[in-house]
Amino acid sequence: MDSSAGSETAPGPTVTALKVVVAGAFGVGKTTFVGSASDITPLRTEEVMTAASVGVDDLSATPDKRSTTVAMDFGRLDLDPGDTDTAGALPLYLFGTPGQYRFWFMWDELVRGAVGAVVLVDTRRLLDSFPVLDYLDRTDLPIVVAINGFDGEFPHGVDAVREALALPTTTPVVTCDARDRASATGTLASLVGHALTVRGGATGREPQRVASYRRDPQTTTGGAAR
Amino acid sequence: MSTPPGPESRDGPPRALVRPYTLTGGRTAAADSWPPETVVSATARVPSPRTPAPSRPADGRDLPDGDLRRLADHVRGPVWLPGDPGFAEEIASSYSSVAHRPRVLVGARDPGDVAAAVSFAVERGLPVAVQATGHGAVRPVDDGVMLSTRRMRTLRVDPDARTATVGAGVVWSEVIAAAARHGLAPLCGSAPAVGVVGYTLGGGISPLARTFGFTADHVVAAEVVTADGHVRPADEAHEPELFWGLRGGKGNLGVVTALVVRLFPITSLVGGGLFFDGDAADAVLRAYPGWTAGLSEATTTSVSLSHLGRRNRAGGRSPTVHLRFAHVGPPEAAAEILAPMRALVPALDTVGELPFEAIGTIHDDPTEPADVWKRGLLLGDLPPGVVETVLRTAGPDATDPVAGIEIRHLGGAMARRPQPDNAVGGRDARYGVFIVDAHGADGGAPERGRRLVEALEPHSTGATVNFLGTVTDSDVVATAWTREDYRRLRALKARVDPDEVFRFGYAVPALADDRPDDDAGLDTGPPEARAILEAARPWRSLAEIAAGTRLPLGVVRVLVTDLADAGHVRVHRPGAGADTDQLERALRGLQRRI
Repeated sequence: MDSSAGSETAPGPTVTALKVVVAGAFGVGKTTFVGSASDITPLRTEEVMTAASVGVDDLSATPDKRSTTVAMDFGRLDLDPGDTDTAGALPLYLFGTPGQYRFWFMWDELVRGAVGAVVLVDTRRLLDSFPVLDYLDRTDLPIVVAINGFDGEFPHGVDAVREALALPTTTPVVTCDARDRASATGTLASLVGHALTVRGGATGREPQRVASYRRDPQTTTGGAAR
Repeated sequence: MSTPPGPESRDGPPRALVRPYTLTGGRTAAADSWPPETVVSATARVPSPRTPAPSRPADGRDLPDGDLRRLADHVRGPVWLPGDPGFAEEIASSYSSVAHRPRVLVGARDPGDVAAAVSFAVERGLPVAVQATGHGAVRPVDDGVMLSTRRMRTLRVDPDARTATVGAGVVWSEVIAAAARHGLAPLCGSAPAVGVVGYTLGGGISPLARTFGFTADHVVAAEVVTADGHVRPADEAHEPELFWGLRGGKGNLGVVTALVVRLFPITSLVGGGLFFDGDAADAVLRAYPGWTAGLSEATTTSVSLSHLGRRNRAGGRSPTVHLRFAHVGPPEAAAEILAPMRALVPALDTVGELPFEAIGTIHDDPTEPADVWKRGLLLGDLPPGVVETVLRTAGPDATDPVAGIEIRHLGGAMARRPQPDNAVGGRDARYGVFIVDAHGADGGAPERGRRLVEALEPHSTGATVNFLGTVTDSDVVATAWTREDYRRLRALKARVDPDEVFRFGYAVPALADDRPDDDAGLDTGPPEARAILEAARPWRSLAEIAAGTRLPLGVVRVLVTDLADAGHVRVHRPGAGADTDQLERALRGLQRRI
């Protein structure tokens, strides 16, 4: 005899949701990246920039960007649909971080339990990436730095960017086109692969990057040892 | 006799079938620590709320078959459209003699199927009909979504509580057998092949009704799917008004998917029938009013005149005169009570001590469906004029007799309203008359039947739902309840089914002035909670729910906490993070996409 009461219905297997944080400076392409990789139409809250907010957010290097993200935008990749409604389902959620510094209070919640973070950087304004990298450095989060090639151009090499950002050799630096689904997906694969590597290495944390340079954003060259 | 006679008054606490839904403000700990990707899954299918009328397709009549077939995506049970292999078999497998032709037929397996099918129908502006065994079929279902509930086979006996939990597809004979293993018995109908739920919702006049009251008086709890697609528990504590109306309101308020009914410690009774030659009809019927007037509540009887087959069961002249007798008490007392009727010399006497499982032999109702016209009335008394009318219409000397007439002795425990009260009508009646005949030439009432009803109506105090017969006129249907109860039912209908999704069978129209602006009257929690339930099917993250419902994440967390406490959703709490196995699966999943 079957169970008649709905609440007695077997709840089914647990769904494990994975989370990747898509971080980066304001205007670097996080929303575009989430939208490209996501299976669902990205859910987001955007507001048209006002004169007042222009004063807060520096748009000088990205004059074409007319709106900015003031809350989380996120997407979902169904990496394994499972056999039934819930069996074995493995969704991967992408959360784009708020670009403006004044929304950083949301980050602590966002990074908790995340697989890792994709840090998008724009070589035209590497300086802007330091606060993000600085924040993530204080967490245990595996990161991949992805150089977003606007208009598909990568004027600076990967090694130059690594050096400029004072990244350790163990942190993957990749190029990507945030508008391209395969490219964005490949970046995510790099991150998950890196997270597995970090986890597999019994030593745990990779070497710390040099913090002093990032705490002084005026310094744009070189990544000397501590 | 193994058991004490008298009404059973065991009143344990009502046992809800599903946990009630109340908004409590969050007892589940640590909800505010759930990150936005925390997955929430609805544990029961909770379909979307009623679609506002203006956005509906007109009557749903233009819906393509392809759309109707999509119902199969929402239910576990089979779905048929007319003409599909299995459609005709499913319809014909019931007891019903009525040829139903719904737009789509669903073999519901569980309350989730029922809820999904009701929502599916409502979203398309289609009415919903329900059938288990088909004994209650009044007229053909010619539209909408029909639910066949025969697959809902829940049957649990709780010997300590003396209750049985009975799914919509279970028939009385199954409950009788299951209860008998514990020395218990249900207040089943005279025909054990009848489904429990439909019978009980109409009141239910069992062969022991004068001793224990209507079967509906002994319903402890119900589980019902209402027109908004919610599976609801209803009992004295939860949705008490709905609980009032379900017991006696027949199918007007929703699809009852299960009932908890009281069982009685009875293993045997004195019962059977006295069969008389047609020539004895006069003597038996004239003796019956005076004899029954002196009977105690321990005895329930009825008498029928039947011309079916035009030959007498007892071997003599038509009609067969069949006196049915059931007594809860010692055989000696029963023999004394029955002596005046035995003195009229029955040709066949089957009255004796019976195991309760043999209760169906008392009435010995036909088990084959018969496509007949039926009509029932209740009488405050059985005066000589009524007996004359019955004999003139169905007696041995009637030139053009109706096929059958049954007179049931009512009253006794049936006259007393139960606690809590219910919507069962006919408590002031002392007798019930039920007429069976061939359909009239126009498919309506046969002329002789119509004349008989007209002759009886001046004595009538109303009707009882299960014995209304082939009636669709809402003024006649209304006679099955007191004036006050009928208005109360209509007001309740306006609240739980204002668009009359359940409009087949003995329909009670919604009271127009009581139609609510919204359906806030029901215990569903805030509309936001309902929206979350919809969104969390089969599972969604908190972030997606928040985005989809346009609610702040914090509000979603609180509401999800309440829903989890009520057992409506399951929260898949994220651990410290993904494990290696999950990461490897994720990596493979990503690489497949590149």
